[in-house]
Amino acid sequence: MEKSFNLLHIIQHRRDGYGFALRPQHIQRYREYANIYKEEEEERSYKWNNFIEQQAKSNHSTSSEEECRGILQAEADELREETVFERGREEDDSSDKNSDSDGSTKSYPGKEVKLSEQPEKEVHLSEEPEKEVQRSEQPEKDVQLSEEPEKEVKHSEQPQKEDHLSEEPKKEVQASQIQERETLLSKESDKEGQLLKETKANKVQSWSWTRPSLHVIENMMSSRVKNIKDMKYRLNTINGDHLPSIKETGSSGESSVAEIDKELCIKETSDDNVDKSTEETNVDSKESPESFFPWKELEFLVRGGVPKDLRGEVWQAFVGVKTRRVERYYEGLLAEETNTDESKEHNNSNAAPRKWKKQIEKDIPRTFPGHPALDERGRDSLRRVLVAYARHNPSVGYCQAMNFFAGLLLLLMPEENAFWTLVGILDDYFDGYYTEEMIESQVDQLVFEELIREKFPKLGGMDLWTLVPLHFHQYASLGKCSPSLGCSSF
Amino acid sequence: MSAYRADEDYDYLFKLVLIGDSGVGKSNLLSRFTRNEFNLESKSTIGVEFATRSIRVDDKIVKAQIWDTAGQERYRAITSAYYRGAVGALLVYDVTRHVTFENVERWLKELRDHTDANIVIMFVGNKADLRHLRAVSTEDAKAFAERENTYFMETSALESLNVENAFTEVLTQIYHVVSRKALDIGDDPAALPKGETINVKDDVSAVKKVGCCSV
Repeated sequence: MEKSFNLLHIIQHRRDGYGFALRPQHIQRYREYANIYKEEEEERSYKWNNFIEQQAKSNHSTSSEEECRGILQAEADELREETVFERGREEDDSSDKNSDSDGSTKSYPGKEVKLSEQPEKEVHLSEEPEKEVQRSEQPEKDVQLSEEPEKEVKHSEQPQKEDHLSEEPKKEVQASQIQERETLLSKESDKEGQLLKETKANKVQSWSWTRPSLHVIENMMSSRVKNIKDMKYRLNTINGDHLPSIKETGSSGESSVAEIDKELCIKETSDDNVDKSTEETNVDSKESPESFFPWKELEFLVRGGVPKDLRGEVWQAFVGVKTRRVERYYEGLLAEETNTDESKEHNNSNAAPRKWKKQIEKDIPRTFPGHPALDERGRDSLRRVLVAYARHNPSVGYCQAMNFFAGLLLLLMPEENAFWTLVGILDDYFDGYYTEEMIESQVDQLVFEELIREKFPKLGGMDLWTLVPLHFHQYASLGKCSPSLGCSSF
Repeated sequence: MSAYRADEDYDYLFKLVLIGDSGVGKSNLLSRFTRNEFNLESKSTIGVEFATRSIRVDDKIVKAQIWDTAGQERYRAITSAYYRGAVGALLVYDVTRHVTFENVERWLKELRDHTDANIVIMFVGNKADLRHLRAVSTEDAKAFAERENTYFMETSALESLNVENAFTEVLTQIYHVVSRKALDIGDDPAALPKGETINVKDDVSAVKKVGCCSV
């Protein structure tokens, strides 16, 4: 979709700032209020930027870690080169994706996003130690498959960070694993290489880091994610494979990742290490930086709405995308699809995947139909994100409504970021809502009905109006988003 | 909004549900009937949505409150909650996709499990405009409808074919059931609401009261 086309629409006020078509009956009002919206948005931006700057400052003054990172910076060259390459493509991709997706004013697309990619350096620096391990233990692989070993190490690196006590035994496991992996890798290298090409050609790797000013929030929120990630890593070690994907963990589709996660969760509660890490991340803990964090102020800002150019990144920060992300996991999920498809196409064992795939295909053109960002390329992105999520969490697979979540996220961030944000939202906030039984949705429905009966006895009979479980989806499908995620109603 | 006041004036309010597989055209049937709109680029229905329209049957104004439901199988647990109190249903399949016809039996069971036995059911073969793509013959569908004792019509929301008829037929049949029951009961004026009632629930339960839909 042409940028000029978009601009035309904006100028004529046929679409709002997010690219959603305005209903003809609303165009007049939108015109009348356009300036007010603009002013409000500016005010919001001002407040948010102030807040973020302050946080960034106070964070800098307290952390000496930052300085250490600065020293390490010089060593990060190799890694950075790699990502710069990725970024190059990514920028092409995201810049024009943004230009068709957000359909906003001249200042918005591309630039903002590129700025936000800056912090990448810092983030990669924090991954530096991992590279050291990588070099010493398996230098030859660097040549063979640049990305594989890094991930391998990263899986086991995370728990190390968390608890130094268990470092030693884990290294052993890790070493034997790496050996296994190595043989596996050499077998698979050809195939992998091919897949790599495929995925790169499809530009699925677009990923960008959030701007550094948001790291304070991101780190706060990420502390809640760490335990989950810990589990995922353990899942990896249990399975001894590089990707904790569905097929490997939940064999028949009956037993799910979620179930395994729960099991692990029970085990972990009796684990000293976890106790320690939860102590560390405890909000009420005196030493914790979280206790100094101005939650009230942030809450106030969120309630006032997140400015558009920050929204995508704020959402990511809130679900702790940085902590969730496992390098190459997303690509792996997509590659898996191309692998298994051919071999299993005629097999009955993948009846469920075939079912959700059909449903995804039905819903792709029915997700924000007519939105300029959801042109052919946009739809391909949407398809990949939904398919990847279904593979990531087969106990859910695909459920209608997820298409609107994913579509909305894709309007605000690069594809892989959208995937991880979707994972954060669905796995944590909507756990149990979209499974085959939709249990949590049903519970909400019944609870809401009960509340209505209790609080509004005169409406008691109106079980017709039990709309609450549909709250988010309804908004989403209308091209709006829920207040709980900080969207304005326009 | 302009129709709002007119909406308030009605003699009967009947709740209908639109069910059937995903993508058969339920939402477009609804928008065609209630707003005379059709959208090739329609969006997936999540959970339920509803719209209303009033029509005249005999000398009475009948207001249809029509609930459109998500077609994906797993949503049945959610949408079936909205079947309660429904006195009519349009069970829709797509004449170009045989599988949607095959699934009709399950939808029928769903209806019979969650609604009153006297519910008026219209079996609707939509997308009849796609003649060259037809995969379900009219005869098969008719036979099925006869066997299951439901009404049957083929429609095209796109061409506006039979949409009005399908809804009107269901509403008329419901009306007949209700008024026949009222006659059976005799001259009890309390048995039927005469327009003074605007509460949805009261109306529906009034229908129940006269025995059409004893649960």
